[in-house]
Amino acid sequence: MTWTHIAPAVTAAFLASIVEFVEALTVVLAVGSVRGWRGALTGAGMGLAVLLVLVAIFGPALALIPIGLVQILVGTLLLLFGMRWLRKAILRAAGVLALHDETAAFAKQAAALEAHGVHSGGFDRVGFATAFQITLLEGVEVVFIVVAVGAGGAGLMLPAALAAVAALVVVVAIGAVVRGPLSRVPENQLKFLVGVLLTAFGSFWIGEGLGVQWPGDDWSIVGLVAGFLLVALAAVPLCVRPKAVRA
Amino acid sequence: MKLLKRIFDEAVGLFVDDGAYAASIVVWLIGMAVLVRFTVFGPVVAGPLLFVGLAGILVQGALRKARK
Repeated sequence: MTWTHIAPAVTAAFLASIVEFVEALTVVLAVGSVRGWRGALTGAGMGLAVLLVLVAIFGPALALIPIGLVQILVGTLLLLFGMRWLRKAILRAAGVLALHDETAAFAKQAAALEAHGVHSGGFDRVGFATAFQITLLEGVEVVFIVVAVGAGGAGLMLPAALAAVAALVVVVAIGAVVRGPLSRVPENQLKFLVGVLLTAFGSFWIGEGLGVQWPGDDWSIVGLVAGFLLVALAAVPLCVRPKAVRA
Repeated sequence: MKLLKRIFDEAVGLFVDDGAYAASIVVWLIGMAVLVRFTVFGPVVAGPLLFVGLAGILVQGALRKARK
């Protein structure tokens, strides 16, 4: 396993995890500030525990399947996932889709929680369920990315998992200091970059699984990253909708 | 049960939010598999062709969505 494998895998896992954890943090913060911190933290903690169980099950299970088959299956899923993210990122950059706004998401979530009424003593099921669901839903994406980029080669799973844990620690630490939605995190740019990395990874692994002779061997990962980045950047101005001309 | 259904929908939605776009990707991958498996030159040309095809699908998919 070389740095041409490890560096993009760790970068993709870290950046993708940052994006997903920031989105989860926004909702957990809304739960904490509206309904109280006990339900918010218990729900988020329980969600993380379920995610750890998923990693513990699916990570080793993939090692039992022949690597060629794993590369084709995981590569296909990674490609579908990465190209979906990348197309959305292109459309956001072109102004076709609205940019993700954590402050607006926080306000919307807080309003929805306030509509449930005031929590008065005892265990807060609404707060717990909301924090649990968002942690689980956003975390499932993290688990998929970690397992997928980690399954591409021996010794990749641990660095990818550590990158995700590091992202969690960074987001929680900043969230604890800021005590508000992390609206300054350049989420949309991160999503663009992660989309490029996952698309490049998926392409490379499917090629490996199919028996493609990549020019430059492992260095073709770097070439694929550069290639998809250039194509995606070139696609942004093409997707900009012309403004309506007023008569 | 509601949560399980939501998780399932989210899981499928991770990979497919536009059937035509996802189908184009899968069809191109199958084409590359056939090329590698059944032609002598396939393994050498499939890498660049895989990239070119996927890049084309990406741009076309983004343009189609932008023009809707």
